[in-house]
Amino acid sequence: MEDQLLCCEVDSIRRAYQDVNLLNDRVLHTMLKAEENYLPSANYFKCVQKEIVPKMRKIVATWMLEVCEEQKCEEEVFPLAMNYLDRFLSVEATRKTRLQLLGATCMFLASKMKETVPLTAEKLCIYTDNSVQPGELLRMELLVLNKLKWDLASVTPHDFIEHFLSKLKIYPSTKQILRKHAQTFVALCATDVNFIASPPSMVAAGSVVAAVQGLYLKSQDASLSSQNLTNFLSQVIRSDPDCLRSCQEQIESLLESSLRQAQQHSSTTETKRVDEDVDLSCTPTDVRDINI
Amino acid sequence: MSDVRLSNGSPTLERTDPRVSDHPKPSACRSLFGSVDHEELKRDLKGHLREMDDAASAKWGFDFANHKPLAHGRLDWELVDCRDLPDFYSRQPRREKGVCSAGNNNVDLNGNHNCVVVAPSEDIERSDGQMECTEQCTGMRKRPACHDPSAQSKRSHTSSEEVSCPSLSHSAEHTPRKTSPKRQT
Repeated sequence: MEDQLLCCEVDSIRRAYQDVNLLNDRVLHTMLKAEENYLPSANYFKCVQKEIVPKMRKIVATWMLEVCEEQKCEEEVFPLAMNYLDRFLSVEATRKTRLQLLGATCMFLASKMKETVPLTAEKLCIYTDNSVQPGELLRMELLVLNKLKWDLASVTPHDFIEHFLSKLKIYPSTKQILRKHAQTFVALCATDVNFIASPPSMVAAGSVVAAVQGLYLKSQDASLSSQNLTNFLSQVIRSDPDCLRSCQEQIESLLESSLRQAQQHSSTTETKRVDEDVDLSCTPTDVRDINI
Repeated sequence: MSDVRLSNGSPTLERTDPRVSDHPKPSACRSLFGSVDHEELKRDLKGHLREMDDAASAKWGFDFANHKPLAHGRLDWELVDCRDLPDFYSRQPRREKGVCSAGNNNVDLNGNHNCVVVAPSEDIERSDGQMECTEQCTGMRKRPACHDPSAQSKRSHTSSEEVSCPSLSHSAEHTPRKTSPKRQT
C-alpha cells in the first residue's frame, strides 16, 4: 500500500489525499461558524476606496484567473487569492496603479498556502509585464499579511463543495463532473463583485445546485430536483431556501452573460471552440457539451 | 481502506501534471492599469513597513532594529543562549533539489529572489524584523558548532565550553517574559 502510494507520487507534484474523516458535520459546522470571520466588507468600493471601482476588480480578477490557469494552480488558489484581495481592499485605500501588484501578491500568498510548488515572485512579475518588481512584491506581501492580521486560513467555497458532494447520492463519475462544474462556478463568482460579501457556504451551495441543474441530474434521482436539493442544502448551510435559490439564479445568469461575452469574443477572434472560454476557465462551461 | 481513499476522488487527483508552463504566454503578461510610479511606491511601502515596525516595537516593548529591549516596556526581556533554544530557530531551511525546477534561477521556493535578500542596495537598508532575522540566522548558521553533531544534544552540553560560539553576543536571543509570571502551579 505504501509502495503503491509512493509510485503514484514519483512523477507528479506531491499532494495530500482528501481525508474522508474530515467530511463530517462537526467540521462542517466549525467551517460555517468560521467563515464569517473572513468575509470582506460588502461596500468597500464606496466606503474605503477612492480610485478603485468594481470594473477594475473584474479586470484584475480576470487576469488573476488567467495566470492561475496557465500556471495550473490548484483550484482553490484563485478564490483564496480573491478573498485576500477583497479583505485587503476592505481596510486599505489603494491606488489604481497598484491593484495589479496587490493581485499578484495575493496569488503569491494563496499559492504558498495551498501548493506544493508555489508560484514564485519572479514569475508573477513577468505576468505583470514586469510593471512590478520582485522586491516590491515581497514588501507588498508583508503589508498584505499585516493588514490581514496574518490570518490566511480563510474558508472558501471550495472547502464546502466536498462536504456537499459527500451528502449527495451520486455515482463517483458524476461526482467528478459535478465537482468540476461547481468549482468553475465558484471561480466565476469570485470574479464577480456581486458575490463579494456572500458567505462561501452560500456560493458553494448555489454552485452545486446550479451544476446539478445544468447537468440535468434530476432525472437520476428525485432528491436532485432543484426544489429538493435547494431545500436540503439550505438546511445544511442553515440558511433560507429562497436565499439559496436567488444565489443559484444569480450564478446562472452570471454564467449566461459570461458565455455570451465569450461567444462575442471568440467570434471576433475566430476561435473555433466556444466552450474554451478565455474569460472563465479551460473547463467547458456550457454544461450541455459534457452531458451528451 | 484503499478503496475509500481513492474513491473520494480528491479534486486534485485530476491534475497530476507538474507545473509546465515555465514561459508565460505573452497574452497573459500584461500591465493592467498603466505604469507604476516605482519611487512613490517604494516610499509608501517603506512608510507602511516602518509603521508596522513601530507597532511591533510598541507591542513587544522591543527595539527590533537595534536588538534591544525598550526602556519602559510592558515585558521583561531576558538574554538566552541560542544553544538553549530548539534548533528550528537556527537551522537552515530545508531545500529540496528536484522541486525547484528550471527557470527559477535565483528564486527559492518562497519566491525570494537572491538579490533581494542579500544585496545591500539602498532600498534594503531598512532593517525590519524580517531582514534582521535573516541576517541573524545566517550568522548563526555559520557557527561551526551548529553543524557539529554534538550540537544536537546541546541541552546537556550547555556548560561544556567545547561547543564554541564565536559570536555569542550576536546569537544570543532575547526572550520575552511577563512581568508577573502566573506559573504558580
